[in-house]
Amino acid sequence: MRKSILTVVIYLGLFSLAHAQNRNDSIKSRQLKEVTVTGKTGLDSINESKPLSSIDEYIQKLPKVNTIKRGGYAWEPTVNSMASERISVTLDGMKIFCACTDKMDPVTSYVEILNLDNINVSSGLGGNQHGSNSIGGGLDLKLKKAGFHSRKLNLVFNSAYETNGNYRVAGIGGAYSSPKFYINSGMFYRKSDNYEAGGSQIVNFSQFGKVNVFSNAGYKLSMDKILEATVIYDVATDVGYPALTMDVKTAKGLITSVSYRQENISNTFSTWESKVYYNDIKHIMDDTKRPNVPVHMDMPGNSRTGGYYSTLKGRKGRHNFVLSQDTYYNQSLASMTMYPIDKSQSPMFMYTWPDIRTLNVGVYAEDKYVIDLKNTFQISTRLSSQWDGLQSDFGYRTLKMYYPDMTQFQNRLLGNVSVKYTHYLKDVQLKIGAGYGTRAPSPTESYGFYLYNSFDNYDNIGNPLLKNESAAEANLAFILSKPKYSITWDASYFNFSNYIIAKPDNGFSTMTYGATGVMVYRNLSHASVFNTGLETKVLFLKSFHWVNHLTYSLGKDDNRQPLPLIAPFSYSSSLGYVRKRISAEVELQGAGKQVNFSSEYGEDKTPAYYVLNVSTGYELQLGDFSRSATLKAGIENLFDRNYSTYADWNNIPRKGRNLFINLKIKI
Amino acid sequence: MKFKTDYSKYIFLLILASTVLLVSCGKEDLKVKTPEDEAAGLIKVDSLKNGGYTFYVFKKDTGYFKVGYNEVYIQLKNNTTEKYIEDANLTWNPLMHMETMSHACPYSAISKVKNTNTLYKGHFIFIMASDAMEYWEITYHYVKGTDTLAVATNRPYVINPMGRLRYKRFKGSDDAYYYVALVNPTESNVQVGTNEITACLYRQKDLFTFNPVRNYTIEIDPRMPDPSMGNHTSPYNENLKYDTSADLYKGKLNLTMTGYWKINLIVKDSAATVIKGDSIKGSTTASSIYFELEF
Repeated sequence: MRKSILTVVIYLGLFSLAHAQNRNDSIKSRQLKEVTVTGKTGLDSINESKPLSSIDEYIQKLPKVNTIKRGGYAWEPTVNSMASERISVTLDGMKIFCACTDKMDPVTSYVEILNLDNINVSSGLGGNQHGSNSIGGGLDLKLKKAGFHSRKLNLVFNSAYETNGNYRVAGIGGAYSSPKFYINSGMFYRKSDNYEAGGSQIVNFSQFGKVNVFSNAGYKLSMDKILEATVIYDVATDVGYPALTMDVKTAKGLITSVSYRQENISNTFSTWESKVYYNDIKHIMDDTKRPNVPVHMDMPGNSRTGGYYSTLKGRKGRHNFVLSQDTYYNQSLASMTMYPIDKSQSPMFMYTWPDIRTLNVGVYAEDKYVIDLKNTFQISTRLSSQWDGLQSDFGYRTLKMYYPDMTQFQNRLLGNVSVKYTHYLKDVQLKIGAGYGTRAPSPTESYGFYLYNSFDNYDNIGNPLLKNESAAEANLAFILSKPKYSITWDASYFNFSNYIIAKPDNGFSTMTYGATGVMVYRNLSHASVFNTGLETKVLFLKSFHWVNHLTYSLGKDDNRQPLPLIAPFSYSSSLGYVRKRISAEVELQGAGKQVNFSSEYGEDKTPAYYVLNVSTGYELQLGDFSRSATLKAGIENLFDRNYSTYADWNNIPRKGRNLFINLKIKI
Repeated sequence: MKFKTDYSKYIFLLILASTVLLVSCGKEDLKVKTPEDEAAGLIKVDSLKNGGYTFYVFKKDTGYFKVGYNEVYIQLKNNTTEKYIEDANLTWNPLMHMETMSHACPYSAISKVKNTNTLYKGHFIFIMASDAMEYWEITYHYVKGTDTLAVATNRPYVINPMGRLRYKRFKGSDDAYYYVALVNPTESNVQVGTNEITACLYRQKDLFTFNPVRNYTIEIDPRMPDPSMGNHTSPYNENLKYDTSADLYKGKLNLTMTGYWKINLIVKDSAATVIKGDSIKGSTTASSIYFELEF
């Protein structure tokens, strides 16, 4: 069954390849640059104060994005204060799903910062081509590709050291470009011991190690026909999770794709890209190094996804459109074997993700209509059909005890539509948007079985009878851009129906030693999430820039009680200096007291905090233009504050004072 | 003519083919279930020949008797005609010969197995094992009206089974002795998920009389007693109620994972008076009567 569906997926992919024969080489049309994203930043620009930071550190600086931390590694991104279930994280449009039932391995943990060119953040329901089940928004990680240029070979050596945790980073990358062929490959290594929180407090089980190997290659079949392929192999080993009761022995990700792209097809159609992909994530937890483990257990997880998409972009008159069809098939399988204290007894085995299968087939359409020079109107919509269920009869029998009315497989129809109107007036942009969308419950929400949440200390059981969650969104943005300064204010409001969240059920017995009780996923009749942010930028004295961010979020459930993991008022202010080859930055970052916390989900009133970071950099030219050495150094948490934020699982404290030095040599 | 020759050849082939087909079809249609077929899959415990008849004794799970519930299958052959008896009225008596006394055990009547011609079925609940000095004696009778046509006796060795507890003798609050035995799930068919649980319950009248008890309730509370599991239990179990057609107590047992389970029992009479057993609450983590399952 699985094989045949994968085969179908691959055939369909080839089918769309075979049909990509429309050619019109003589006429070329220039594609309008899309501006559907709210944040787009080059990853290795000179302006980055710490170019070899982890991808996690990078992501949490993106607008509207935050990260939930369970240790020193693999932080879970959130967009608009919504976590994995409500956002989409894709890699060059590829769907990848984590293999850990306890969210130890967000998709972002299987790539390395040097794999990436940039990260597109989409906010809310609109303009997210690859977001099959997202409401809050999405991250699309764009891979770095050497591209077709004149013949050129580049080598990059990276190394970094950080005092806190004895953190070592080393990487080597090579890129070869030519007009017909390119390849870039690299290898990256990171290793950290336990870090220290402020006041030299060692945070045990916060160590990690990671090796990442990647390769991208492209070949021009003809002037406008391009074949591209990607392979990434990422292995994390001995990863500690101080906030959880278990660590990770290994987390392996193999990510592959082949795509075919045709450019300049006709006056109307600019590009047609079709991609076939497959990825396999294997995650193995480990509790053997923990002291006082009441019950030793094995918890392996596996997530495999195969899929394709085919996207056509073009322009007709004042319409700029995107049409896309995509399909993916995922298998999520995880089990738990517990070894009883009484050694004469047999091990206890169960499926925590009982071989969950998901087949999602969708279409996406987007049109940006330029009404006139001052007004644009954008509409995007997605419709998809999802089939999901349990391939494992064992798992099906297990859940059927709890839900006698459930079926082994089920179908869901999902969709969203959103509109955005933009008005340009001199230096001012005004954006008003609205949308409505639904999402299917995640595998954990539907079919997870006895997943322990160490934050609220409850075992969680999925609910296959959940209704789709839906949300209506309204958003507003005001942007003022002057040569010397800019102000951006935006706000979004999500009004949910059938909001999915776990709630205590006294009828069920716990399984995890010492757990408070059992929660079962339910639909709340309604809930709401509100986000607002203000950004100001000022340039002065030629070389200085001063950037400020203020954000505030609010989440309420159907009883007007706070939702968990909603960011309190937070701020950052950075003063930077860039002149020729020298750069420097001072950054103050902090948050107010977490007033709206959810004690039901284990949260408490996280106190206010602030930290101060300083950094400086110098770029040295080595011979010609393309050869350089960049040295960056700085101190994070200069005053060695001991603090934790609302997003720190079980309030584990963050890093104390940390001296870092990054060296990048490009030849 | 050449054409004609070819034609007749075809007819010949056609007839041949249909004959082959008919024969093979006929074989299928006329296939009769032999007595051997009916006993297929059963393990022979004994063959007891006495005069004109042979009693064949089988079990499903093991080739021997053990303490607790034993489902027993019987075929009876007429040695003269070599035919198996299809309308036999069979009875049996188990008797334990101890050094100073003797007693029986709970056992059922023998009835014909549905959809078979020659197979009969019943059960014993052996309440103690055989040893060098003490033995079980089972007498099988084939009767017709008031005539006894055949009798066979043997002394099978009844062993104390290895593994988990599936049978319990207890003294009830009415001062009578009771015997409760787990029939299903067996060690081989128990599974994660919902299991049909069946059991039988007998009350001892005297040393030789054990009456099946009907219209009681056997309440179940499955638990994982390992200290690491916090006495974990499963939801939506259904207590065992007497089922007339099966002549057994029947309920639903839910097991959330593999491992060692203790099925705590409370036996209540028809007036819901507790005969034996304890609710799991507060400091009581197990009932005084229970079955065990491990898989």
